[in-house]
Amino acid sequence: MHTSGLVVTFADDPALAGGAEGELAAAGPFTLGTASGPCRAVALETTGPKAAHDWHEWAEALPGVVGVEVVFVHWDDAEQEVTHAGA
Amino acid sequence: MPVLEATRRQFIRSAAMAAAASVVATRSATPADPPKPPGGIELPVLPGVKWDKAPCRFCGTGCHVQVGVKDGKVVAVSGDRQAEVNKGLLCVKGYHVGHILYGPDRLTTPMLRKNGKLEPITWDAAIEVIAKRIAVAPSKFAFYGSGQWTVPEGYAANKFMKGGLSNNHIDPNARLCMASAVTGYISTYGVDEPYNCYDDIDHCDVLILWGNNFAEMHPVLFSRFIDRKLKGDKITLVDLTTRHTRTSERADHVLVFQPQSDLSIANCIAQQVVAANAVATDFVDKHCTFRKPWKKAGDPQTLMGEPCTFDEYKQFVAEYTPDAVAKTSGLSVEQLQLLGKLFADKSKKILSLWCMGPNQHTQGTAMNNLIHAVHLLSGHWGRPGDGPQSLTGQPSACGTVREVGTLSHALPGDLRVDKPEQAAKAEKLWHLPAGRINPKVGYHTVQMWEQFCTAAGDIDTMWVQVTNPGQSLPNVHKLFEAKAKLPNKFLIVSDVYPTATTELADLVLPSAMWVEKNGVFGNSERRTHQWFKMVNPPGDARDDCWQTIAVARKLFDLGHAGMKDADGKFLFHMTDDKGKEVEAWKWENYYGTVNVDEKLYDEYRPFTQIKHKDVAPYQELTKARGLRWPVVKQPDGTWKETRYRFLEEYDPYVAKGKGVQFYHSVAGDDKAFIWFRPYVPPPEMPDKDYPLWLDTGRVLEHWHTGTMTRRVPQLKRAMPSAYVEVSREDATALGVKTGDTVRLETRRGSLELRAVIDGRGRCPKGHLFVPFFDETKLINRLTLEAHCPFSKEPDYKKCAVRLVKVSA
Repeated sequence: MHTSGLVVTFADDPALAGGAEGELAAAGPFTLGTASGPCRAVALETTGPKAAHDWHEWAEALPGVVGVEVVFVHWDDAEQEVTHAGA
Repeated sequence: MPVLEATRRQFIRSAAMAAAASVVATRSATPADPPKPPGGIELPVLPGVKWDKAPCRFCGTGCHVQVGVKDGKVVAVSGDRQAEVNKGLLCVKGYHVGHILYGPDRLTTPMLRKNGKLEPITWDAAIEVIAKRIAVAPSKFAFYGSGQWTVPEGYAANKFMKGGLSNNHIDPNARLCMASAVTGYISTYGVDEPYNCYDDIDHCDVLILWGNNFAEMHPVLFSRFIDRKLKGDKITLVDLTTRHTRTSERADHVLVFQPQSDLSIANCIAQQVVAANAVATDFVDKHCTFRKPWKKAGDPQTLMGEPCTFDEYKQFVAEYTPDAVAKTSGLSVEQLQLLGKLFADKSKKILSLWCMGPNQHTQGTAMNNLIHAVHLLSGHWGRPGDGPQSLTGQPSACGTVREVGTLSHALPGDLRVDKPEQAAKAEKLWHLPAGRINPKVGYHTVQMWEQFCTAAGDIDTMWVQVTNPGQSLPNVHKLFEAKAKLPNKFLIVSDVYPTATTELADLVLPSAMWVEKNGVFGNSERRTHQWFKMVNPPGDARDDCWQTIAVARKLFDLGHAGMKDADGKFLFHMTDDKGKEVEAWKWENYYGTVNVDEKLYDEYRPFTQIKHKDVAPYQELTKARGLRWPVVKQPDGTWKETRYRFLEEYDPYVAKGKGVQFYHSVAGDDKAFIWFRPYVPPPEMPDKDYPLWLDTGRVLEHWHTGTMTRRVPQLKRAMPSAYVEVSREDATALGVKTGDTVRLETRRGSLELRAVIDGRGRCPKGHLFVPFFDETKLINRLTLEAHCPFSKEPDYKKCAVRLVKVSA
């Protein structure tokens, strides 16, 4: 399991921001935490780092999301996906 | 799901949420509601996980992370909330910084090429091969290093070469990324490195990015600026760029200029400031003098130029009017006037940031001079948030290259090999016999590789550490791949993974990386970071610094006189607390009774005091998240860092009552130079045969040549291979669609790539962009090795290219 703590920054347009928060809340792997100003704490649980990365990109592309930053990452040994550069 | 597993997951989720929540609380604090001071911030508690601090391994920003280790492996990473640089935040590469250690193809044993094939050998045999090779012809040996070397690694390599072998053929890959910033600072202020710091991002009213895709290259710092916007600060972002990027999407003004015309644009700003009577006369009279690049126009330019009067300067810039520059720069008169008005307005604080755009430039020194000039001339200098600052791309380009002096002309502490009195200072600090340091400047990067990759060249053995020149050198076919046909040339490569460079290596040495070893880095704002080893390297991989010391010792044993100091002791002689010699050249002792990093750092530190760049004591660094030099001891025994140099309010080396003092000025008058540097055309421009511009650079997902990030599958999948950005106009004219295979051809080589139109980045008509991270698509086979005459930094940003459609 791959667990991330994120800071999501929302746009100052309340409608856009609200829509994005709704999308995040509805998406399975996100848990929404406390908010302050335009920023909200979010936990993201995925099966591995690839999925974490993909969900990050998805969240960042949501209308109303200005940015997603990583604060914390924890992973299990079993999911240590790695590869050859040229492969 | 078993109950225990569910509880564990819940626990980790809570830890993640708590970490994020605490950053949200800190980030949203206003000046009236300041964040809690560092010290009381607790790390997530996870069973069996031990945390320790380290700077991130990737770029030059210098974010701090907390690294979680369990059972000898890195299992967690947390942004360090005590770190001023990143305040707990990490960019998207933060997911993966721990994973870079664990690629399945880590190099784990030394390998020597025999009959064309790399075969395992012992460390003893490998060290002996290198030492004997050097002993036969010490002057034909060269060391190619890195801005990713730790400070002790670079220091040991520099001492080994210049203090031991009397050989100055040592140069780093940072020659390719920030050498122009060095010559720019030295020829403006008399001494290298920024006077200011990242705090400016929190205080500026206007941020001007000079050819810098800040959002992708320094994302945490970019967020710091954007965060202010979101809080309602009235701040303006000006993106002065040759192509539309993610940075442009957040900019208030996107000014897309023609390659090389940045010289004219900077002069145009100066022209407007003069014409508007907006010169900061009081500041300029007290603290600056004017400089022209030659005795008379048309003569070759020189690094330090000649004095000139304000009236002469005024005449030089007079031709760069907005009307005139609009004809060649691609900017409109209104856009040029916008820049002129910004600089003419003293009420706004302007921060200029730049990185590879102005640096990787055949007029790189000139561009750096001109950015400083427009700030000094207009008085946008010296207030927090109001000044010019260069950024770096590697984690210790400043610390290891600029401060330790691993460039071919330099010695630690800004000393030079070709200044006898300065070399004598180094000999004294190193306790060497007088005259040990060779006064002849060594080969810079391009020269070094030219000499290595030609049969008649006088470099026959090259040792590469912590870098990948087989992918990153310009015109790589000429400067690297030509080695394949030169059997007498011997290439040694210390690295962590196989690379384009190890492909041609005769000897490959497996290295420890990041938290597998102790380290010290220096970031872009004069901040020195320290960390301790946390996990063991895989197999038989060992520290680069140990490798250097072991070779030096083998040379000592072989009788090389240079490996002895003035008393006949080993060059890297070190003792424990009881005065007993520590045989650090033996691996089993390297992490034994002494901290070798600390010993080397302590030896290096006095050099930094020569030009008031006093780095902090090692033990102070162990407690801090980096400290910005000069770090000076206070009457109460504490150590204080310096946010701004040359300003009396902050810098303890400014004489009382001076206010501003450029105390290392070139002319010895405490004044900075305001330079005029004319527009000079690039060495290669689009023509009928090669009608387009080619620009190269980086992407968010991959760090430089991708040696580490391409081992992380999620990053590799997110950005699997290189591509070429083509403008919609050019694509239409050439019948090219996104996904088509096209061939790029320059006078040096060709490469097939997938075309992308209107992707993440968007080029203007006549311009192509290709990232250089992909070792399977070496774009540097096409680039030009032409370089700035002073910094010797090549121009990767512009050469002439043609595009041919291959298949749909």
